[in-house]
Amino acid sequence: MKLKNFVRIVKVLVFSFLCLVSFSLIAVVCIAVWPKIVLNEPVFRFAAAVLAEKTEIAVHWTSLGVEAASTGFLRQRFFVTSSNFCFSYKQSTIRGCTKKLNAGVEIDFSHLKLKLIALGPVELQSLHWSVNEGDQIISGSADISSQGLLDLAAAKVEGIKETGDDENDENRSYHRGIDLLVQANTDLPDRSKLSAKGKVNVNYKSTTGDLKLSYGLNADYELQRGKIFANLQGFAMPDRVFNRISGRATDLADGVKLIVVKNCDLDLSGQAISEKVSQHSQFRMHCPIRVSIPVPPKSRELLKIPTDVGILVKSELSNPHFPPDLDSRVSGEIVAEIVPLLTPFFRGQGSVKAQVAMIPKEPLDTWKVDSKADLQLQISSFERLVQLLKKTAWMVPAPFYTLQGKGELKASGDLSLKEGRLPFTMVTHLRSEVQAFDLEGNGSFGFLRKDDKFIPEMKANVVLSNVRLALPRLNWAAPPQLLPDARFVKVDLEKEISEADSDSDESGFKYQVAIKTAATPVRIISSFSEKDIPASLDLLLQEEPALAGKVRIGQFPVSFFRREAKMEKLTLDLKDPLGESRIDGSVRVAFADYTIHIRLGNTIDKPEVKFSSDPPLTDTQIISVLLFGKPEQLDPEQGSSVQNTRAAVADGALTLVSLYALASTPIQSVGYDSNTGVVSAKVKLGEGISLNLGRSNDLTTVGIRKRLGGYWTITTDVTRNTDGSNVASAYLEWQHRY
Amino acid sequence: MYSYPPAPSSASAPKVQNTSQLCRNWNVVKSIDPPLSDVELRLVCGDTPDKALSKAWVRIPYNQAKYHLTQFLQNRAYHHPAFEVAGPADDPKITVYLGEKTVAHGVSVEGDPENEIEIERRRKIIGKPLTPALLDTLENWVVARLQVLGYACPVVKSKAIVDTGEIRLQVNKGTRKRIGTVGGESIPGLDPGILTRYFPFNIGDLYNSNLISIADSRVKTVGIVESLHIRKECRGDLVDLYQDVFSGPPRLLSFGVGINTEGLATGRTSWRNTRLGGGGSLLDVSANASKQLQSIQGNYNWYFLPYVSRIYLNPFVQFSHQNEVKFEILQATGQVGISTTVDHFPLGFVFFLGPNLSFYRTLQGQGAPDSRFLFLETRVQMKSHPFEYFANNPQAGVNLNLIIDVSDSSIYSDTSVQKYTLSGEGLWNWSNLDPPLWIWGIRGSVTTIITGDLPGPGAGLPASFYQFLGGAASIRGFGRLQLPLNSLVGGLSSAYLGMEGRLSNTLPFQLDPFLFVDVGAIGMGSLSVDTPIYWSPGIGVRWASPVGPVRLTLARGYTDGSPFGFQFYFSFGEEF
Repeated sequence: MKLKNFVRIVKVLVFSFLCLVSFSLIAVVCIAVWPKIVLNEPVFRFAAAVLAEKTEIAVHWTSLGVEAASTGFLRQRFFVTSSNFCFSYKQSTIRGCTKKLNAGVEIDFSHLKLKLIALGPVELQSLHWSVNEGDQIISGSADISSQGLLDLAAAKVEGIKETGDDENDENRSYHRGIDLLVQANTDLPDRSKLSAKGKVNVNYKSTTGDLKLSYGLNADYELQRGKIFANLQGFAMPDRVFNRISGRATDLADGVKLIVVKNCDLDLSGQAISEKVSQHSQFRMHCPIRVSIPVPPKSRELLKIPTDVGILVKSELSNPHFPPDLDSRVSGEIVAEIVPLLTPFFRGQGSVKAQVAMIPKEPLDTWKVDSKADLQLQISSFERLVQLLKKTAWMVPAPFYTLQGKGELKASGDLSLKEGRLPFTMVTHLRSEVQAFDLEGNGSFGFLRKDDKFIPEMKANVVLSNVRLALPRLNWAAPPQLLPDARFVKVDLEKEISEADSDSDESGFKYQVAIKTAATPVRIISSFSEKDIPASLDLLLQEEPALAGKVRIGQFPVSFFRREAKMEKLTLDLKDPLGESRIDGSVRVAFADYTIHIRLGNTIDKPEVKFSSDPPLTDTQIISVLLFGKPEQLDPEQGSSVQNTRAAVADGALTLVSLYALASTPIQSVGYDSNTGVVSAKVKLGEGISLNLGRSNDLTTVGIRKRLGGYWTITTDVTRNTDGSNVASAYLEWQHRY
Repeated sequence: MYSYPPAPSSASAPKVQNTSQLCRNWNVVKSIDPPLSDVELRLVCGDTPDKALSKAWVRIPYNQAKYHLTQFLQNRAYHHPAFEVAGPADDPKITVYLGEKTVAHGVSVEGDPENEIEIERRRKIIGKPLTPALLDTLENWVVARLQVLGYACPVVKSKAIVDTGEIRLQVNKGTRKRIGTVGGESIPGLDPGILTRYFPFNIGDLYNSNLISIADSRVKTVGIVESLHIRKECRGDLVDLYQDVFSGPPRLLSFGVGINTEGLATGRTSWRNTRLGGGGSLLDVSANASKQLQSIQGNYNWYFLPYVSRIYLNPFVQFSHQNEVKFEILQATGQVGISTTVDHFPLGFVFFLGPNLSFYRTLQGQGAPDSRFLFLETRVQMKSHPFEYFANNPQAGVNLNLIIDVSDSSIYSDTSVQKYTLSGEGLWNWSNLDPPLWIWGIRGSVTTIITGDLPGPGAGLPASFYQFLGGAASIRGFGRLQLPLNSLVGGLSSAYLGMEGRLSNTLPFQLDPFLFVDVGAIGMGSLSVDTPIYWSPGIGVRWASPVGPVRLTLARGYTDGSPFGFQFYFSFGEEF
């Protein structure tokens, strides 16, 4: 019986246990599936009361709601919405309120254990907080909004260790600390990934009352392009936040392959301004940065160009609030010093100092930034540079490659943040056996802001203080084709041009370079003249129009029409296209009995040539004198040549080059086709030998008389015989007009 | 080793490369055609140290030299050169692969929807090396073509796609323009506007550059001034013309020796005053001498009207001695008439009407020993403007001459005679190509004399009146004036027709071969021709020498279908 009762009792117990287990499981499942059963405002208020009683942490709110959504079996996402959520610790020693709190968390109930696997988004609107340390109140406010979702699935608290001395002994100081090992990964909205692992230590020291949060984190930030690794060591105290960062970033941009930061100290501390409650912030930075710049291996090897540039960034900034209030003024100095670069061919060094005064939250253009730059790049030996470049694709062309000397580029002066400008100066002092190339220049690099784009811009004024250059020895009567004939294009290039035209925007490099000569004009050594040709330049190079300004050629002797002539002046008022540039020139040719002035006007493509003489001659006589040395008594061929030349001059068909060609070669005859504007010349090469210059065309010329030269012609006649038949005759004729 | 564009791979490069040295370190596979000039070489290879203006130009850095050479090669239609660089970078050895010359494969025109230009007419472009000169030639041709059509001031730009050889022309024809004004310098001593009498156009006519050239040519031929250039200036829908004149002295003395279509040496001398009086009258005295004809003559074109006119009186005197195989005759002629020229596009006319008093003495051959005639002579010449324009290189146009001499025995003439001569030639450029490919020509002459005398012994006409055929000027399969065969007696009528087809601008050295056939007959009576029919097929070649055309012909004569023999002619200056 007893056994039977025992069995019965056991059965009841087992049944009860099973019911309890089932009920518990059902409850757990119900809570897991419908967590609002337990996660509701009354429960929260009850929990808050328990919390306040047990931990001196008090929280209260006007309203608090929880929305839950299932993201998987035993996984829930909660969205907490609260208004006027406040918290306090130890009777308002630390307290804070936020007008509106929105926060999302995702919790995993599997393994019958709650686990936070994601946090976010979080929004704390108008968060005000303060810390009361007896005689000092530290307060602050912020709006916190994070739309990102921090994935904490892999996060774990690896250990919580509490350290400390016996706090029950009132005579001894004690400290309490918690060590947390944390690990987290998250996919950010811009598809970049952040993972962090580290240790956080929270410590409280009773003797000073200091609360200190120490942390050490290693973080990997994988961007869509490039990676950042950083090691952050630091601590936060109520009056100081100190961070020491070391790390590296790779492939962040085309021009920057690697940035290495080592022991970059960021120190934010609060200092009392007065004995009252206010503190102000001091931010000090001492940050050595090493930037790797891309240099082609060949050039790096040849030019010994360092691939790393060291920059030391230092700052000393202050703000009247601690923690800093971004609505308040921040002022101080920021300095970036470039660690001197020294190669066998150039030296570079410099620094940028900026005095800043700004309210960070206000627009950029309200910031006051007085900055000064002092950057230097010196080429100590141009000839060595030439020698090295000779082996590369950037070899220095003639006539510059024989120059020797040094050059210097300095960027020093005031920087303007509004305009984004960096002023610079440059100097060269180069020489060769007959040449010189000294220039001084100044200008600025900068960025133009247009809508959301920054357009690089350079403005420069270059003064050619002492320039003497040699041209190649050319036959100016028949100059070679030095520029490509733009009429020839490739299919691809044609497409590119048309696409470039259609896609043209204003994001390209803007430049404006003014080039002027100093008191000493540029001197050009050429086969034009036995003496240097002096040229004064006042040019403006820019993207549109590409070329503008004036070139003034001064006086120089020149062989013109086989006489010693003098180029009195030649001014080119440059336009784009070049052929429309206006010219104003004057040449004086002295003969035994006459002095002839040739004036050039209009444009390069359509020059107007005007003649005058002393004593006065007609245009025809002047051309006769110029071509054949006499105003009259020309043979028929010469007369025709004079007339052709005159017609070509009148039509503007005689370009500067062809005029010089006529003037510099012994002309036997000149031909001109007024229909096509083609000028041709027969040039005497020697006794009895001639050469046809100029372009002939396929057009048939009319006339049954062909001039052979001088007084000789071939004449074809058709005459009627006495019997009425036609007879064609060809005569070699000597003809003379008188 | 690097190259841009990529040098031909060893697999594709020719196994045996014909490499020529441009200069030290520069080699060229094949050779540059045409070779570089001295200046071009200096800009690639550097200047000689003793002549260079600076040491800087003694050596040209590779990249710069390559840039220069690329331009020079472009000028020679090498648009895809490849450069292979070997050896140390500071003293490289460069091999230039020229590649093939790019040739023009097609021409397209924008801006001419009506296809007035007819670019397909232009020969000698397709297949030619694509050089700047070729583009210049084409641009000039289109400009000239449009200027013939009245577009006085067109703008033509070209672009060549070097990958395909395509040439694209962008044409802005402007508007067709009419001649607004004709201005310019006057000629000292002459009435203003004298030269306009030679112009084949009038104010208000559509501009045509060919007519401008004809005006220039006429003035030069007459010799009234040394040279004339007519410039144009476009003004809206009008074009203003300005004449630039180089007058030169008015008197012209000349001596000449040459050959004629009779295959004989000839000489002449003349004295001419081209600017007599304000009207610009012309006095010309000349003498000619060849084995067959010796003459001295004076001619005066007297513009007698007190204003600029094309009408002039034309007194003419001539003394001549003609010595042919079949006759020998002395002649003295005095003539005066009124003459004028008329131009009506596309034709130009010369009319003459006046009495002609001639005395003949037949020294040998048939005809009256001495005879005298007072003719009323009428001459009409019609020459199309294209015929005149292409006078130096005949290829198109028509030229017709009609001469009528009428005498009556009751008016100071020994015999009543009416002589009618119609001669002419026409040329057609097949498909109107430029330059022409085939030029077809036809020439002929019909002469008849109406008189009571029949040819033969005792006839009353002078020997030179009777009709003979044969020679380079008529039937080329026979000797000069050889027909009628085996007879010293000429006919009262003759007719011949010659046809020729010339293949032009195809063979090198400007040699044009041609085929021809001449047919003719002589009639002993008036207004009729008798058998046999003479004809002669033949071949020939024309060479456009720098001083004029040279023609060689070889023809075989046939008489009523029976072969007669071969005849060879050489002529200089003669055209079909």
